[in-house]
Amino acid sequence: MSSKKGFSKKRAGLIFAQLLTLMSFGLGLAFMYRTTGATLFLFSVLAPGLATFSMLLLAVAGIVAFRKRHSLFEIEEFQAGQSVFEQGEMGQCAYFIESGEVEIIRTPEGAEPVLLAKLGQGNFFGENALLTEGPRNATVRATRLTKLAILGKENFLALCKMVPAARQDILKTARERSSVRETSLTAPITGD
Amino acid sequence: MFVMPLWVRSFSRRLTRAAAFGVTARLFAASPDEPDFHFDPVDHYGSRLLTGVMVLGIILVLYSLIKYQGKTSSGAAWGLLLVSLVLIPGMVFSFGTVLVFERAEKPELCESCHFAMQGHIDDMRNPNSTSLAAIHYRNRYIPANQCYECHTSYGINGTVEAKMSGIVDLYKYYTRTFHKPIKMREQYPNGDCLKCHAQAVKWQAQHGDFKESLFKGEMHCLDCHGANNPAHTVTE
Repeated sequence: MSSKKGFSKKRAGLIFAQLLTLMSFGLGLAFMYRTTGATLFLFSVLAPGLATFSMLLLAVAGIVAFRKRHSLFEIEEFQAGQSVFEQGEMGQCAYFIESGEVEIIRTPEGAEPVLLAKLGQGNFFGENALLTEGPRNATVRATRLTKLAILGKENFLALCKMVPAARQDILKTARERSSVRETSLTAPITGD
Repeated sequence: MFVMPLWVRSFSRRLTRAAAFGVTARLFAASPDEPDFHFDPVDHYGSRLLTGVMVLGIILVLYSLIKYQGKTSSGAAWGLLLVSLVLIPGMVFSFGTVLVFERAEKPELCESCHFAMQGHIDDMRNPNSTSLAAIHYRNRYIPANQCYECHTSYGINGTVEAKMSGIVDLYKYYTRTFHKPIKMREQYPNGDCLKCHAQAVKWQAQHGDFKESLFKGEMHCLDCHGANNPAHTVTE
């Protein structure tokens, strides 16, 4: 079983943006400490450029998050071992498996990770966090190349509201999964 | 889940404390040589405030990096990113620009390129020198920012030209592609003398016969005044 963890582009971009901002503040402190031609040039030209670029990265991350929250079955691909979401994150969307397979892994506090289930084509997941407004209660990872249709939180809740039958099905599945989480006898994952 | 290595967290905490201490010490450092009438409260307090804001920005960014590691799992994470990546840099660089323009005019900035300019600055401050720069400085015909006032033409255009020329000078200095003796790229423009002198009664009385030639650039101020009193006397 692959233990490769996903590091999304959005997260990498935000970390990079923060590092750029740190650099720009460093150039500012250098200018304050000792005003020379070089520090003046770096603070007045390079530092604002770095800060502006990091603001752009933040804006892009915000737009990506907004689009995800309001997405209507956008298709996203995940490689084997790539995380779809991590336990503890706030949920912004539900996922419907178009092709491939994912594994649901829960890590109780102070315990080893436990494989709860594997879901394949035609299944869905991620609904619990949207219904309870809580954080994700498990980590979901693709076991092979997987295509997921993403339904943003707003559209998911609208679907549940407008189509009672869909809501019933989703709630029933959520209750069953909750029961599995509490009584799972699957051996903990020992890792690769 | 990605966990920031312990050494990174420890190092960043120590770095933040050292930066805060070092900067705080300078924040309140006095400048005993500065006479009261040269005290600029905007530069004095503004630079200290700006430094404090930058230190705060560094602390917030490091806190966000350590706590959230790029995740946006909550509104607090987004809020912290907004403050540390947008609000604080916005404040820093908007007020910082004011300080940049102010400090760019000071002789100390010119002096910082000491391999090229030290001789000129030393001559200017030399009480025994007979150069035009020394005479103007000694008598405080120009009360402050003496280098800038003489070497920048009138108005915003003059400021822009000076800044662009300064970038070229900076490049040549740090790439060590400048040549000594330092010479101006173009002849010293009459306008840089006339902007102060031309409307003085004394100047009008002494230059009335040929002021039009000076205004048109047919004669140059330094043709007469540079002969006995060079603009700078650099001995290196």
